[in-house]
Amino acid sequence: MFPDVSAFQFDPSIISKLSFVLIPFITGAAILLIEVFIPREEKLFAALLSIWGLALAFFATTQWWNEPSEALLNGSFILDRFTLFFSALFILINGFTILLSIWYIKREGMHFGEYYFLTLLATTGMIFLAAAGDLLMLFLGLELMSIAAYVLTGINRDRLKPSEGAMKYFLLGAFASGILLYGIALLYGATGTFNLIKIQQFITKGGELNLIFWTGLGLILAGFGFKVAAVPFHLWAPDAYEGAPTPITAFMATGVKAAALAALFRFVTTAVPDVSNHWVPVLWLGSAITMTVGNIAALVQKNIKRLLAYSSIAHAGYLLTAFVALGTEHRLAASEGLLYYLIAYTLMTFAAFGVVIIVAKQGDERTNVEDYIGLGRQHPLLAFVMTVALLSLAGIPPTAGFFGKLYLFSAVVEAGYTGLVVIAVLNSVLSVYYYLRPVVNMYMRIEEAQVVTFEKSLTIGIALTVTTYGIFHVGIFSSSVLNIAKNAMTLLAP
Amino acid sequence: MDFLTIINGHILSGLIFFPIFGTLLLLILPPNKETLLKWAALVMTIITFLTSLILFVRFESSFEGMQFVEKYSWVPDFGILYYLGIDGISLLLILLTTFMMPFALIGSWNSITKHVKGFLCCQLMLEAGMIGVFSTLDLILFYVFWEAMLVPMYFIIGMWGGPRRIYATLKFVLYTMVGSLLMLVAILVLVMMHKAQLGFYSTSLLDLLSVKVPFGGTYFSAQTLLFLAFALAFLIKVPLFPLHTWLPDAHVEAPTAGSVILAAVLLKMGIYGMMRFAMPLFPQALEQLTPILLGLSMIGIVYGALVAMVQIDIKKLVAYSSVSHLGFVMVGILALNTLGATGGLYQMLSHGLSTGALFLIVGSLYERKHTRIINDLGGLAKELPWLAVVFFIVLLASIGLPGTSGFIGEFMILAGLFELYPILAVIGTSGVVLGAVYMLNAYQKLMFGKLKTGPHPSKDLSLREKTIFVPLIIIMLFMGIKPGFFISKVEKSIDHFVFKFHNYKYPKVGAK
Repeated sequence: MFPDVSAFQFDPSIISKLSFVLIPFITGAAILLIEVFIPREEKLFAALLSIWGLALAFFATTQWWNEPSEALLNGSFILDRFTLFFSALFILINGFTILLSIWYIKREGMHFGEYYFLTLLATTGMIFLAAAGDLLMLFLGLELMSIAAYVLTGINRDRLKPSEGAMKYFLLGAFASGILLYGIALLYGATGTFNLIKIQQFITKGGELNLIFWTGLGLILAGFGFKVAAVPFHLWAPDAYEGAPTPITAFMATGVKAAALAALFRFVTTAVPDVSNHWVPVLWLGSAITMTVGNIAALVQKNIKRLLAYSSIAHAGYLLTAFVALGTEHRLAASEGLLYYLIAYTLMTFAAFGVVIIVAKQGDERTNVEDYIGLGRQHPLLAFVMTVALLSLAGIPPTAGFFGKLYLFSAVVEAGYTGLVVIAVLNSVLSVYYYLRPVVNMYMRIEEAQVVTFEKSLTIGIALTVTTYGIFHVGIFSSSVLNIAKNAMTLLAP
Repeated sequence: MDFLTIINGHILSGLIFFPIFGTLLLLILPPNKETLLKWAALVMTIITFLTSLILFVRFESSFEGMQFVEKYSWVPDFGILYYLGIDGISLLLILLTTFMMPFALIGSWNSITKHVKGFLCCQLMLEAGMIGVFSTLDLILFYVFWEAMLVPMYFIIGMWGGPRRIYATLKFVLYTMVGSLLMLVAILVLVMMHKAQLGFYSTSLLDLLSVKVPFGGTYFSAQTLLFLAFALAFLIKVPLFPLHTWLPDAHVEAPTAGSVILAAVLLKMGIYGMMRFAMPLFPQALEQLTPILLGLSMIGIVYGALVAMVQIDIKKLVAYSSVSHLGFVMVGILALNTLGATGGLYQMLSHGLSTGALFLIVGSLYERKHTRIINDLGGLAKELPWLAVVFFIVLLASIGLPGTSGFIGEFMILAGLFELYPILAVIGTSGVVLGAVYMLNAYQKLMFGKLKTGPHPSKDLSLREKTIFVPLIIIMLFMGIKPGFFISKVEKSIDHFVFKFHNYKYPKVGAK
């Protein structure tokens, strides 16, 4: 039934335990309050305050790494290494987004103090999602994150594309949230609890798995499918990604996806592992269709943001293959691969979008693949970064993208799903074609180029340097990251 | 004593990373000082070659097993090691690589005018990748080098190539990647089998050789499928008929240096992959599929030769001649006897030299006449006598005239094939005859007959070009006269290679 409120004692240590979640939120709220008093153009302080808050929060996550796992707030917030890993990832993602945003905001004239507040709010929601121990907390985190994301997509409200993208995202997203909530309600009706562990106990103790249960489960999976932009729930993604301010596109492609996958991971491994023979085929099919549709659609894209959007849909497909393996006893290897891949994916996505920001002029004028012609000659560093990012997305060694696919696919093969890996691998070949198209334009069609100059940005330069170096370092020296990923899997270890 | 041990323990890594270090060095130099860049790159490739000579000299012919071994843990969770080591086969192929690189650079000295720095960096990275492929004993490390090599080659063809270069390079990359990615899946399956049977993860070749891959006797058995996945990746590179269609486009559109390295080294990687990995790991599947592979190789020999005969573009002619010659090499390897395998390896070296030289000749011709169409040219022997002489000698080596390197290889292959399947040896010999036909025909059309020169007569071979061709010819003749010099190094390795299959086929027979 409902949590027993009368037994809820306030334990002050909970503040310090939850600090890594509270700090981003408080920082955001502070920004929201203070920015009223700051003139329109001087929003840089908000960026600095956000970075400061994120750094504090990151530090806070590292403090709890070696402590034993705990379930807080009556079991709805799980403080374990899985949560800490993902929280650190989300904080990093937010940090990269801010680095990309500072200059972008100035160029586009989008001086909204709420911008930074909203990203921090979304990050808070993401952390709740990753830490959710029961379905209510999951929904809370999801909505917190989503609503912030809807607003951020359409924050450039005077222009057509952002408004269209935001509208599509919001309408379909609200609908999907409704479906998810309905699924949660049905599951509660069938099992009598929201708590993930208690749901598992319900199943193992022979609770009745009737139509209500299965419908609830199915609707929950559908809701997740939407958030992750899996096919056939992906139709909002290309428009939303294209219309959103480019730093937010990167934020959504990495953070929102990772958060949704983290929550799905917890749900699938904590609540329903014992009925895996029912949801594994669904995820198998979903993964295969998602990567194929994503890759095929990307082949014909001319707008680089849409191309990257469909590519990100395809990558969601690759990530979902790990979930198929979670139903077997090889889940540890699959989880390692998944977490490693998410790190690699974050790095390469921000590198690619960073370049897109610089190349596109004000108002996203130059976002066509043809606009990259001749970049190799005129701006060799920029072209190099883009090439590395694209090669990593395609999965060509020795980048992190290749090693991510290697570890992920080896775990899935070990789990026995070689067929799915063959599909994934053939999809990778397909993707090489559209990933190489900007590279062809940048280096091999130099005669056709017109001279273009770009303004330079220090912050984006920092972000690009870090991510490009990371793509190589995380790839070639992958064992350190793999170790972190392995250690993060405390929720599965006995 | 200690100094030598240090060398032994690091020379392979040195060979791989020195070109990479060279790339970084080139990146620092200013892009407009092109002569400086070219000389710097050339010096580095020469140093790499001299270092590989150390490898040759210090290689123990009588030692059975891998030499210059370096083994470090890389990704312990998955058992991936940084594991290098060579035997006689790898040794000779590494030498071929380091030997041909300086010639490729000198050959394209004047023809690469844009983005010289980028070109040289790509060449050096390519060299590093190639040496890496030939020297690694860990399957994942092999895969990394194998795929990583695609990137510089993609740029070399795509940026400095001919008019259809983008199509050619994309075809090359996508074709190769399909094969390689399926091989990756097969590697993963093999590693999982190893874990299941032996209890720990390992991706090193020597461990994986002890996996008992189930063989059911049908074409769908596990071993056959895994073998096919590996073989696909390698046979595309060989190239084996009918997987060869990427080759003519890639060769024709690539710049001279690209074609030289492609023909001389990259094609050999396919055969090396078969010999080192695919064949030893899946011997029963190999036996099952040998008839088909032999058949396709034979078709390749004859088909390549016939198509070469009707080409009007010299470069395409040489490309198809590669298909034919390498079909020969595959036949030799598939014979699985000492004669055939040694012949195959020797023919690989000879083909690398002669076809590399042929592409350099074509490059020299193109620099002067700006056309590769045979009918547009004629009587060049009057205008360019030294070029004609060089061309003829290289042609003889390519055809396999006794006294040149080509003969040794071809003869041994045919002899080895005759031991097993006499009929096929007869067909194979026809391939030799056809080879002579199309090459001599092309030579006659180009060099003899009416002089069809352009508006200005061209100069004969410059000093630079003589520097390339004279050493190449000397080596080709040396290889033809004293084959034992090289074969002595590989005897043990070839024996080991052959012995494995005979041991499996005829368990009662002892060594050799």
